[in-house]
Amino acid sequence: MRVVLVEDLYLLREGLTHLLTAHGFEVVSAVETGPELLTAVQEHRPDVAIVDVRLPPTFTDEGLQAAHEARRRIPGLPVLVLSQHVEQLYARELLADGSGAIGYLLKDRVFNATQFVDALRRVAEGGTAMDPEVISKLVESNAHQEPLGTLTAREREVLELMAEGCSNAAVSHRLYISEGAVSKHIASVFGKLNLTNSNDTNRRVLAVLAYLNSANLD
Amino acid sequence: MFGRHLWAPLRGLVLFGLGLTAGPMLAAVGLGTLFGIQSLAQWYRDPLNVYRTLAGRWCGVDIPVPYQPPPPPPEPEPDGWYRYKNRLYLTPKKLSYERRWDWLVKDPATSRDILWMLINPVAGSVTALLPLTLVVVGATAPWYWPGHPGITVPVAAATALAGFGFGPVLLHLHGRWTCQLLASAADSGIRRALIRIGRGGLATWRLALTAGLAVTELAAALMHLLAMVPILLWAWPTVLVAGRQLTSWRRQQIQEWTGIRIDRPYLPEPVLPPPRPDGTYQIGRTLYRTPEMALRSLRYRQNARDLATWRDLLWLLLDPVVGVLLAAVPVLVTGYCFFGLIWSWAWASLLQLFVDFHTFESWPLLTRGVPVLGDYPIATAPLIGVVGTLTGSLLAIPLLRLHGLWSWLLLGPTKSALLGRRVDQLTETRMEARETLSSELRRIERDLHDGAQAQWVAMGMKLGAIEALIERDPAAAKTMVGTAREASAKALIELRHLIRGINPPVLAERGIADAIRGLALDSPLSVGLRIDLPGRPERPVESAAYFAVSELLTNVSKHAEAGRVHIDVRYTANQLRIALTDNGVGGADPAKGSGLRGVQRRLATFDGSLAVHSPLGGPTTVTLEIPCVLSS
Repeated sequence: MRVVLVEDLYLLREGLTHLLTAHGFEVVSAVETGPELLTAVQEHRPDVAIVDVRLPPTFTDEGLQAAHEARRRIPGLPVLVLSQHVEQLYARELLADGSGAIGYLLKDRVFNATQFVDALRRVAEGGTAMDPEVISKLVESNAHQEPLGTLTAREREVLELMAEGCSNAAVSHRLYISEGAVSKHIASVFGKLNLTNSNDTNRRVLAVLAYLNSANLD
Repeated sequence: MFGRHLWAPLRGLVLFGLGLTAGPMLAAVGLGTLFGIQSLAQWYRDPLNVYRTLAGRWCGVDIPVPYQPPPPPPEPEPDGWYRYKNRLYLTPKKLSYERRWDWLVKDPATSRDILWMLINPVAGSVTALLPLTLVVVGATAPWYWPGHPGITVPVAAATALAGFGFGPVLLHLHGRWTCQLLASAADSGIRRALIRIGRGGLATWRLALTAGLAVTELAAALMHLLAMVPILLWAWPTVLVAGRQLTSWRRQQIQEWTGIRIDRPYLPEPVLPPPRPDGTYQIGRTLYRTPEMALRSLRYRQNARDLATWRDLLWLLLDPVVGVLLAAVPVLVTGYCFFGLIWSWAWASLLQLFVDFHTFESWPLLTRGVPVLGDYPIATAPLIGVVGTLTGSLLAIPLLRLHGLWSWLLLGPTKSALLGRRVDQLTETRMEARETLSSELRRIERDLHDGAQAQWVAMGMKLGAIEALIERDPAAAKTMVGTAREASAKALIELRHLIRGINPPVLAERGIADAIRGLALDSPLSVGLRIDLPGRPERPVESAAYFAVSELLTNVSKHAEAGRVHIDVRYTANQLRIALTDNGVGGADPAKGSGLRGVQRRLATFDGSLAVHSPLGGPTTVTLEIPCVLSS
């Protein structure tokens, strides 16, 4: 799998390159700034781009802007955004175009290499990987609103894991319940949220997040 | 079909008769206000409402009752007391009494009612009484002026018929006139003109009060001068305080009347210096044994040094002259022309209809009293009166303003006083800023010490243990590596929270607008946003505004029992203005909540302000304003 990487910290850039190579990825380009990212993705057409939020020269949200621009130029380009902190606002913006293939993770998720690589693969395949911190905040700030308030604790857990991008099997593994129980919970969540016909992993997460999006911005 | 025409003269008579109650009504309002009897001052509303209803029904004009609803019964404070301004009361009597006065006086309908009472007997009576007058004149003309029956009878009949025929139209005119004053109808040219006249009348009244207060001011000035005689000097502070109260009250009044803002010019209260080692206080070159004596002496010096003391005195001496001079022309002209020439002419004419009494002959206020007017026929009196009243009352508005400006000249702070005040204010805010900064630093140090630093120490210890174990017991070392990694993750989380508390990432990356959007998303409340910001304020201002909004949102979710908040962010007149409105229970008060006070203090560092409007029962609006410039 071919990866383009943009990260301004030398140590982290090198570390990520090693980590990815060790897990069988091919890092075709590792650059430092937003404009470089744009040329790199246009030149190499990678399977996934990993982007840091803060980049030189302004160290504001240049990486995020570059990611948006890259996806505008190459629609559906899978992008995994890494950040020192996670913000609902950014997560919503990233998900806004609805085409999936988006990840938004805290930088320290890299510590757990297998989970990180797993998330990266999911994004590259068109899935979604949201940081658990984003998800819990989303659910927390929407919890008082109907109909999310009607979800049972277990259903909410399942919903959170779904939003992180877990498949049914992964959810059943994480929650120590059978896959049948997971699909039953998911069906019940969809029922309560009025979501119909969403079998595919990527679309169901987007549907949930889009719903959460609309719920707080009435 | 003809019923309206037949009834019109009679209805006009009844309306006219009811309109005559304006005199007693005016007396009741005046007496009620003078003696503080609410029921008396308010009594007029019932008959006036009857008039509204009848005039509305008979004149074909809808005249709704315009009064604002009465204030709700007062609610006790949480501790069971009733609060009025800064006093507490056991019963709600005082509070509801004051609220009712407020309600009576502030209702715009009240002033229009009074204007109606003053001019309706003159202006409104004509249209109300004309139908009946025509009928009566027509019916009685053949007997009183026999003349030639061939001409007199048809003319008389036509006059009487005209009284019936034009009755409804005249009544409708009367209704329209009444509606202009007595209903809370939409704005119109006539209404605006009437309101302007009313304002002129009010200004005249205020000028009269200004002149009336001259006596008090003169007395205060003389007391002041007297107290400066050496043997009476002990009384000086008391006289000074009383004098300052008087001028402060007048400052406030002038601001209410003319909109000219006059700030308090006085130097701040003196602060006692720390005592010397022997327990005495040194003021100048004198030592005082007790702090009271020292403070007293300090006050003497301060007051004598304060330029405002002498400017106050000068104003108290001169204002009686200026006030009387300014008030004389409009007050005398308006008063005489209105009451002497119009008002009494109207009443005298009315009386003459019913009693055989030559009021004009024996009414000294009328034209007979004034030599020039005495040469003109009596009927010109109201005409001259109208012109005089209008001139006088319209002249009163600029003259009242002139008085305000003159007072501002002496009662306002001088440039150096303003500078001095600014220095005081800056010293205070600088101290607060220093305080906030140091407490912030202490907090950060403590958080680092207890949080991240502790985690790293633990991590170091674990790494040491791993080093020792790695050869001997690789399995145990491996588990320990896991825990060390967890510790590092925890340390990172701690650091992240800390950074968010110092400089929130979104604020740093995107600025105040998106940072507030982020706050809105994170809030458990449903937050509506309206952000209109063409650029970014300076960073410190942004940060202060962000933390203020964050604190206010937390406040709302904690105390207001609100479900919705609306945040309005805009930039107008070189100010960043953020308004938070919630649908909660209200009753927020910066004096009570330390949170609001804290926000106020922090904004003060930037010359910003925080205004809270929070009636009991809600909704609460908190508005913060910070002067700043935007960069794009």
